Amino acid sequence: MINNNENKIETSIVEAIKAGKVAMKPKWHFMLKTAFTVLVSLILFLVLIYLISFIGLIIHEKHLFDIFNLGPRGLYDFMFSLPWIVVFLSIIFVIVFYILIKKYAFVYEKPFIYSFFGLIFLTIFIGCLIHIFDDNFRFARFGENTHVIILGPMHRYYRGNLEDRIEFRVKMIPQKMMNDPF
Amino acid sequence: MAQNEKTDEEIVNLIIKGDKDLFSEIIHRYEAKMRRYARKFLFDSEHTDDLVQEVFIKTYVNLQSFDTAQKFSPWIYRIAHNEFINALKKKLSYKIFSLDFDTFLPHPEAKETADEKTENTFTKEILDEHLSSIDSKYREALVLYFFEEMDYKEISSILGIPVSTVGVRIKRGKEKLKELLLINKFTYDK
Repeated sequence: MINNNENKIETSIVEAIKAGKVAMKPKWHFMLKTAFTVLVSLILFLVLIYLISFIGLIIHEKHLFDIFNLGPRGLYDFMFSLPWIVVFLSIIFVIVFYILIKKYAFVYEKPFIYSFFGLIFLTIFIGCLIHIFDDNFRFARFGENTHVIILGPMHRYYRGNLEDRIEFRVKMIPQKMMNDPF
Repeated sequence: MAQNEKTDEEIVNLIIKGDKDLFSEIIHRYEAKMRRYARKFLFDSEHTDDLVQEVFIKTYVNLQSFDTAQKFSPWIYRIAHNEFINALKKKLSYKIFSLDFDTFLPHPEAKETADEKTENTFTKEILDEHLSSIDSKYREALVLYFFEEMDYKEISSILGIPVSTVGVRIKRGKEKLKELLLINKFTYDK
């Protein structure tokens, strides 16, 4: 009985292959699929680093680390002033990125805690490196003056209009000089 | 060299190069294994034929994505595993969105011992009787290890989980088996 079934499967598949009903997908199909996955992963990773740099820029501009040092009240203000939407967006991007690369052995062979949190650590690390070495935060400020969907509005929402930002910087100098003229 | 002397990888290489008839040799080598895996994993003899056929069709369709430098057997088992998991999902007996904490944390490296191999024949017989009562998460690892005689590394690549997690699942599966044996002994005694 089993042998009959086995022969049946073998015969039907071989016949379907010969008749052209079942065909192999070409090599380029898989190469294209891999290239697409790599491209999407790269874009996601870049966006992630951009978002981390943006969070760094907000922390820098609003002097959040200075507030953080002011005790419990400072901690409350620090938490309140963080760009939480961007933080949550970054977490979502990390999850999507992880799902994309999960099928590769270098990811699934490691325990989740290593691969997932390693990915978060790597992203924050690269984001911080860019933040440290990027003069004038050019990378984090990318798209601030544009009307590009998401980027422009995101900068305006968290950092105010461009005019306000310039005015703020101009106002800051005399105010500082008034506080500490010598 | 005769066909049956060639390795799976050599045969696949020839099929990719155009000798399509050789695919019958692959079916010949793996059909019984796939049927056994399906029966032990799904307990659904009604759909075994369709599922095994689907596994071979998917294998053929995706053959160009196989890296002939790697071993063929874990690759085809991975296709079968995905196919059977989908079948289980349709029957709703498999938790689709379950969080698997076994894969979360690192576990001490589980090693296969020589004692295990001698123990295997005995375990196989008991396992065969109680397989349907074991959770599918542990069942798949046990079936691949005891019946398909794969090593931890191969099971890891089929299931897409860390090698240490494979060891944990086999260990926990065996513990479940012991629990089942105790329960049955108690029932028989009564």
